[in-house]
Amino acid sequence: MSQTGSYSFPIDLFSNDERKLLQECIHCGLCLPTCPTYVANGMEMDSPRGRLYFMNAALGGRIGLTDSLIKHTDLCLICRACESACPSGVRFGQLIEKTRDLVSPHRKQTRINKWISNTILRRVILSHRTLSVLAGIIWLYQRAGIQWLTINTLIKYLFPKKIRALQNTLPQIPLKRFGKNKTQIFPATGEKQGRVSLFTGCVMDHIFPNVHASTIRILNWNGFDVVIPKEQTCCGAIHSHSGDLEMTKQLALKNISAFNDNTFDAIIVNAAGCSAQLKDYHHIFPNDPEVERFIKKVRDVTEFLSEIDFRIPESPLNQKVVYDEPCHLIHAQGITKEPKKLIDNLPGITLLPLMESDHCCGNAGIYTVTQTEMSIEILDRKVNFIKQSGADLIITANPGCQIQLDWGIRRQNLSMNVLHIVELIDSMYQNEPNYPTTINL
Amino acid sequence: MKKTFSLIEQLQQLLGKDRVISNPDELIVFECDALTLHKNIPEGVVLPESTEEVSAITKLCSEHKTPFLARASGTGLSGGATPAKGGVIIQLSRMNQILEIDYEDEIAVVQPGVINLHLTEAVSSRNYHFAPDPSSEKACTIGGNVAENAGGPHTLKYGVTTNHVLGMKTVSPTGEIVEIGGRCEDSPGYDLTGLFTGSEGTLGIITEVTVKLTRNPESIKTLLVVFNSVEDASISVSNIIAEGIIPAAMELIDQLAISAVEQHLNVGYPTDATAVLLIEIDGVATSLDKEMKRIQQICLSNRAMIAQIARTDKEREDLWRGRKETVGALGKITPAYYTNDGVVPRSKLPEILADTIRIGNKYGLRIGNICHAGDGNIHPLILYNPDDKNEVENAIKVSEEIIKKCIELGGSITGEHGVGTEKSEYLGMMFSEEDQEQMKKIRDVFNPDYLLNPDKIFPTQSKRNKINLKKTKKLKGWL
Amino acid sequence: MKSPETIGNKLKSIFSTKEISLSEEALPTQLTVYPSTIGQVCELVKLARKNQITLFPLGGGTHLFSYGKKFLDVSVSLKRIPSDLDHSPADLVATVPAGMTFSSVQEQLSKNGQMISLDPPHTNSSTIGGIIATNSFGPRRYRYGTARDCVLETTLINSKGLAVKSGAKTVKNVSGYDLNKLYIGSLGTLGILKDITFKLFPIPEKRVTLAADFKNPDKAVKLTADLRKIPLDIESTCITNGVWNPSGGTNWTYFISLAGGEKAITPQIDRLFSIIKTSPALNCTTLSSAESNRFWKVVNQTYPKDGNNAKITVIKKYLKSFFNSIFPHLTQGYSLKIFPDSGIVYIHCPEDDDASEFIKNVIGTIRTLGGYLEFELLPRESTFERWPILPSSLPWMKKIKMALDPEGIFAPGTFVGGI
Repeated sequence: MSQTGSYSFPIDLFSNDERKLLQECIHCGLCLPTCPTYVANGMEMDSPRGRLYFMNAALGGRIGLTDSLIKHTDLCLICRACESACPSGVRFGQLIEKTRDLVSPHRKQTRINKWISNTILRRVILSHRTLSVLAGIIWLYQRAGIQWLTINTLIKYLFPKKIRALQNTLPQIPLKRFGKNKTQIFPATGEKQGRVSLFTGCVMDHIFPNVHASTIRILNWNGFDVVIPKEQTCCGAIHSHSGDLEMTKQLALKNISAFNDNTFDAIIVNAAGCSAQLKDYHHIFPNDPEVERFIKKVRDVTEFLSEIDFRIPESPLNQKVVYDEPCHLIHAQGITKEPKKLIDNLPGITLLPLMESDHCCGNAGIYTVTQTEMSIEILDRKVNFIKQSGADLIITANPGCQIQLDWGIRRQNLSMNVLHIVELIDSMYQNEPNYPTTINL
Repeated sequence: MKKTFSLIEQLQQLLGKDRVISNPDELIVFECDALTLHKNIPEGVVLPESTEEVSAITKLCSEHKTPFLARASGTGLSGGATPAKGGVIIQLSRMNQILEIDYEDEIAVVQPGVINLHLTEAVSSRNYHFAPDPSSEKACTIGGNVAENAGGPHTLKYGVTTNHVLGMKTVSPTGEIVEIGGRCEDSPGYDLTGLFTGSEGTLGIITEVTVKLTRNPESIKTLLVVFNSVEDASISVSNIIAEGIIPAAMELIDQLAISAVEQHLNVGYPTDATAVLLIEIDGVATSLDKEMKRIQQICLSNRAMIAQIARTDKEREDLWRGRKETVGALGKITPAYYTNDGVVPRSKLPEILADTIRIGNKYGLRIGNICHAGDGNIHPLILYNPDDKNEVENAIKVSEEIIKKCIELGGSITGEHGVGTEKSEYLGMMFSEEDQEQMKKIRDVFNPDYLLNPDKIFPTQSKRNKINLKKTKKLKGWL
Repeated sequence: MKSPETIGNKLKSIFSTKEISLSEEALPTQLTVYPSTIGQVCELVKLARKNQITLFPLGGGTHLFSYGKKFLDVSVSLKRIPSDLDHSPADLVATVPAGMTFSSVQEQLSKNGQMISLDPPHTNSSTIGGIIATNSFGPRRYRYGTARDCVLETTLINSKGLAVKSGAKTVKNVSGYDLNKLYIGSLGTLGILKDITFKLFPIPEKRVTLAADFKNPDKAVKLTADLRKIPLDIESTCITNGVWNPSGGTNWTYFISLAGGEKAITPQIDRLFSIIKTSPALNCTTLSSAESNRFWKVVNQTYPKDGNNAKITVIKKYLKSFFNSIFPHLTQGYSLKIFPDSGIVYIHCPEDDDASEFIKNVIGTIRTLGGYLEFELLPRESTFERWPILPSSLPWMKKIKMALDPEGIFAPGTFVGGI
């Protein structure tokens, strides 16, 4: 047994339950072909089975906290496709997040990593004011065609090199953000069916205010009052994925208290990554009845729309579409039939099959920034399958995927649109009399 | 000063550093396949992308007198892809292209790293499939299927891998590229394709395979039969075969396995059943009704309680999912288990299953039985606690006794998992020294220095291959 | 080569005079022995090895290649070894001694409604060992494949005179190398087959044969692709003309037989009819069972005794191009038997200069299309090689021969590439 690392793994940090989870892997390999990183490079170390093997080896003290352990842990997208494939039900996502948390103090802090974890994750995305300012700068920058600024001016000292290279990944940022710094209520149109709250998250407000607007309009149109509690904050998924469990806990507590209102039938989330994270809060606070109550109400918007008596749009839209499944919807929440059925039932819409629609697009939160090469490789594969499908329109249900897919089609100069499923439904309702075309944000 | 480059350095020169893994920390993940019993860490792992690269790699390894072997998904259950003597693993996962599909000829040419199910998916729109369907079909590769001569539930009617391979391109240990068989159904000379199939990667490295595609049947009927005893179920199987009915598949699952599946997957197996049979017939629609009726009659005359045909595709898929994921599900009810792959003549199925339970009871261990009943291929899963020394020893004894019993009944030590490192010490139960000598002469033709996948199939003098459950925490496999 | 007397004297240490005889004209050996026990066979091999005597494993001798000269020492026939087959009906498995005749085996198996799935051209004296060693097959190949698909286990007397086993008596088995595959079709060059275990099949309840006539073979071949499109329980197919065509005349007849449960087959006849109707067939008939027996007998049991008889294998989809290329050169007196779903064609043509020219053309065509040709019969003076097109893996085959028969006692020089 070689002890190559300089650290021994802090084994006490794995709970007994987690150790048991780790033991459930039977090393069968069924997860391999579902793992985007393994598909991309064919290396056992970058497969779920390999990563679990590392965890086990580290637990047993066979390997230390070495660069390679960190490297392969970090290359995981945490898309959790392996969980869908696992016959033994190993909860891989939970284990890899814990491992990331354990290795993060020992991670070689590159400038970019430091910048992300200290500046972006702990400060910027938690402040709507900062985000607004940032969005404004980006808006100006995109509109004014002053990209050259990054190269020639001081701005380049503000952003790490990798970010400058990745500037193209961003879609056009709208100037106006979603939401105000107060609790807002949008009343139902027509006969009232219920009252729900909307989880709006962090960057969504700024990058995709339209998705929120669409969500509110279609919920109203289906008879639901929509409340947006002011005190809510980022779901903490990104922090949790990058191994910042302390911050994750703080954010979770804040959200649980913000939505503590008996009048809400459900907490609607339109970002799969966020709904998955909110539903996972019981892993952070096990056996807490308040947390359980909160989780019980969380509904991804696609899930919610398939539970209610959904109002089918009246006028058809003749489009061939593909649905690319967000990992945090299909793998983390097992929601796959609902959105497909929703899309398939829309008049005029033809849902085409898409190869590997259940594979990650490579966005995975900040993965695009931290693991750019792998992210691009995975994305290009995805876009090639989309090209082969013959669709005119790509539908998804998560803003991260939207950004990534949009970048992917621009990378290959395709003239396609990427829409969130709620944007598609919203656009189909537009022609109906009395449908609210605008909304007072 | 003259410096001789090491093998790893030369491999790096050949493939670039990205495709050579030599960091000891990383190499540990390659120390075993899905059989975690036997482990050994390789010195390096290389990821070639073409036949020519494989050839250059084997040449280098041979020059350095370093052992090497091919591996892809590592789903094998007999240690076939375990580097028993260290050396270099040639990881073929990047050679995963379907090179050609020819519907007129009903064949496909694939690289060894193509995943079994991916080929079926690629041809399903044209109503074809690749017939071998091991339960690992979602992950195992065609190269591995050929090397192990993989089976699966539907081999009962459609045959095993060897019946679906027409030719292949292989690389010899010294780097020679050899094409054997071809696209024609017959080729003159010795049937090297048949010899290589099932040779467990000891005769050459397969870098391209030409396989037959099979037309989908017009109609499929799947029957779930519930029994009060394993004996009744196994007698029904033997009666069906004896009557000359050969279903597409006939699987037996016993109570322990059923309860695990239902707890975890909830696919619709009755949890109060002592045994279920999953029987599938397929073919021309008009020919199925009568056969199905007869099968139902036979089962009912053997005291079956229910014999229910799946009504929808969903029901059928669920029934199969339950069967294919049984072993994974068993992982939920036991800390460890040990899998057996014995075969008996089909009429001996009731006997061997009764013996299996008896042997289990003798040692006080629970056994979950699932089997490819129609083929006489059993998969008893011996449940034990890895931390209990006594149970560990007993698990080995149980498996060995079952294998001995299979041989006594005129069977085989392995039906589809291969001998590998796991059962090499048992080979002598089936084959005399001279039988083995005949086989070794063939090995020496293709693999004279025994550098290619050494210490597989044949008994070794060392005790390394002796099953040692004490050293392994986990003894799980799946079928 | 030694004189028959010298060899005969040596053989006397093992065999009685009754068990030794002079070989028949057609055989490539001087002497033939008919051992009464397997022990004698083993002793014979040991003797041969010690004295460099060459052995020629002999089956029924019904489909011998026209060797034309005596270049080997002793033929070994297992016909007289008293033996019985070991049939386990409940397992659908039978172990058959190599010397048993094919027809007697099938007859015994049929008592339990079972059969070996092979249907090679045979006479009443063809042996199981001979059929496996020559990898013979017939039209039922369509459904059941060939010997490699039904042989489970073999015992072979190897070059040390020891019985060696490969495989198992179970339908599934992956222990050890599958040497059965090497022995199948090896023409006795690796040893003498002692017994063979088969996976059996139930005899279908009903068989119906349809025959459709075509003007030329490429049109008939085209029907093959159409047959795949419709679900049918086809057991065998064959296209024949000339000596292999029971109806005589110049037409090409496509025989298709359906086999299965009576209820299932009857509606399929109409389906089959409707497909054939859309093809350029001249007519189509359902044969009565007596007719069909007679027809299959001609198709399957006519074995030319002289002239050129060649087995051709091409890539299935090139069958049509093959016929387009050779059809203009076909003359009367040439006979063909085609297994369209396997890409296999037998051509028989008489012994003359035109035929030689024609065969040269055929070989050329096969070379361009990719495929092989093997002569099963050649006129004595012919200059053709028995296998004019050799596989690229031949050097490895030679090494196998060297490994398993280092002294070269088993039928040297009778196999592909001079093995």
